[in-house]
Amino acid sequence: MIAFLARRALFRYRTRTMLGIAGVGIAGALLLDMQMLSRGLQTSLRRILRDIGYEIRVTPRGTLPFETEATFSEGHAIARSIAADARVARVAPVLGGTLYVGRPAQRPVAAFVYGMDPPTEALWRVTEGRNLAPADSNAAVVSRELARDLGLAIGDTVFAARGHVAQLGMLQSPRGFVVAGIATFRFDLRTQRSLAMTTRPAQALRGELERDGLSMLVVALHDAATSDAVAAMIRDRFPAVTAYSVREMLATVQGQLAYFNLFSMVLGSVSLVVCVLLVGTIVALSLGERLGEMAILRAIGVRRRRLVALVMVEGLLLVVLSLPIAFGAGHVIALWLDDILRRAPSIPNEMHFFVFTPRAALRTLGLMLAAGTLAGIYPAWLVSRLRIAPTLHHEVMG
Amino acid sequence: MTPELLIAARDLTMEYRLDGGVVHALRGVSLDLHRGDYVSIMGPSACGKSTLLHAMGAVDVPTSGALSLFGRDAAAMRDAERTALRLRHFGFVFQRFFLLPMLTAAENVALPLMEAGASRAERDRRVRDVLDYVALSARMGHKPGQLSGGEQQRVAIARALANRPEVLLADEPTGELDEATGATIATLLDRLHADGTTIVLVTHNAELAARSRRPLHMRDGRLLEDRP
Repeated sequence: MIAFLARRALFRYRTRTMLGIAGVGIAGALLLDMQMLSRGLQTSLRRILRDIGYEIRVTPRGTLPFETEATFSEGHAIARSIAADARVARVAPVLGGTLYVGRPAQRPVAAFVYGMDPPTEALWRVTEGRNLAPADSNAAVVSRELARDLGLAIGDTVFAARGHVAQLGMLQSPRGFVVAGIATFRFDLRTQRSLAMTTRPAQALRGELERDGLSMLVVALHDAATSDAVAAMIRDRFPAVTAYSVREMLATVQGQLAYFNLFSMVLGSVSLVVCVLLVGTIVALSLGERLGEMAILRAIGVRRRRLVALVMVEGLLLVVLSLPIAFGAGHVIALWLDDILRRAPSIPNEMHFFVFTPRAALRTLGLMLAAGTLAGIYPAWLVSRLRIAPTLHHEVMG
Repeated sequence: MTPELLIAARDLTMEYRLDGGVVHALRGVSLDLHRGDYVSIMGPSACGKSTLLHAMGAVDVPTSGALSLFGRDAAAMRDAERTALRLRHFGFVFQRFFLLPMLTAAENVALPLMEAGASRAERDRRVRDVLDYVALSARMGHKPGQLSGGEQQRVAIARALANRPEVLLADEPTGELDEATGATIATLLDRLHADGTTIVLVTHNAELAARSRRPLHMRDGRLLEDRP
């Protein structure tokens, strides 16, 4: 009876209700977007880290991976020592840094080099040609951007050096690499140029060979549940490095992204208030026009709590009917805003600000239903205090 | 043998506090209503007719006096009990029909049955029966806006009859209708009474009042005769 009456009452003034539903839907869309934003970068990073497949990152002390170009020395020795732990499945050394890259008769360009052993497709994904083999000391995989800027194709030779003479446009002590593949690099910025090779030539080019300098070790474990303990062990044994489990790294990143949480909380709260006010206004307006009907329902024996429930259900029904708009528009707006924000500098290729998750959807649903309930409280209170005889008298006299 | 006493009112008073002071709507009204009665209450506007009807129908609680409704003390009843009493024992008909405009005639009639927890089949059967009774079964799918005033009042009467009430309380049931349509409603009330329903009628219409078995008059919150 309640659902039946609520539906009929809401659609008595179809246009007004449809406009109200659209308004609540748009407020709900903004709420969904703020839920997606609040943990978007963290979720995006977690997905990338999960795809890469290593449970621990070891970096120069006090830095996050590739936060700076700092390195730690005796990298391979540390890697071997960590690999000796029974809980560790494998350790891959990584060196990153800026190089200059060019072809004969072409002006060199700056590019980021990744040296990795074994050179698995953890940090890049080959889209053309082939990936590097562990023994490929004279081959490289280049990013699509680098291939485009230098006009590189599979099988071409590209030269890399640590420095160049700007006036002459020449590389200093260059080393040649055959392009084995073209790839998308996960952490590259939008216009960044990158190339990947095995660790030793990268160390030679970056001048890190002698001290065996590395930027990072990625550590795979037999059991992911031991990651915090193994990370703690690494931190204890090697004071020059910091080790992060995925959980610790996400927590550190989350700390650095607190302003996104704050931003989304403020805008989310505003959209929630708009939602409550809209639903409350529509239900209160509708009730104000139907006080006589409510009184008559009470007169013919409809219980007070049924009418209170009716008003509450009307508020909730408005919210429920607005959900398709909230989720549909929320998705479209999120894609649009994500595209705008990802154009900002320093945003890696595969990172997203707005990420749809079941958690974001459930929180939005819960908050909207709470808004619908909250909005119905005042009109429900009014109907609970309704006095039958004076209301009917007022209706007749009015 | 005296018919069963359904409602007994003794020295009822009803006061409303308004901004301008206190309104004495009822001043010591006493009245008995027995099963099978057909009572009409006439009187000038604001003399307390509707207030008395509301008190008798458990819509409002008197300020003082004793009121027994179906053997129970109205003053001791909680709101839920009064609501249940209205649902099961009383049928209300109002001057302005007060049908829900977004519902069809059948749905309006079904409302008290839904509240009473009647099954779908039982509800459908009863709605058809009462709309047949008021000769409106052909219009059961129409909304109030598609019905004439007389038809709307017949739907309101059908709604009042839905739960087979023992007492029908009608407040100016012909007040918004023309003479001919009012006569149709009066005939319907006669038939209802003949079929065993106890009726209390508040009206300005002397002809309608004259059809009742106990015409009463009120003035300034007092019944002028028929003290029990």
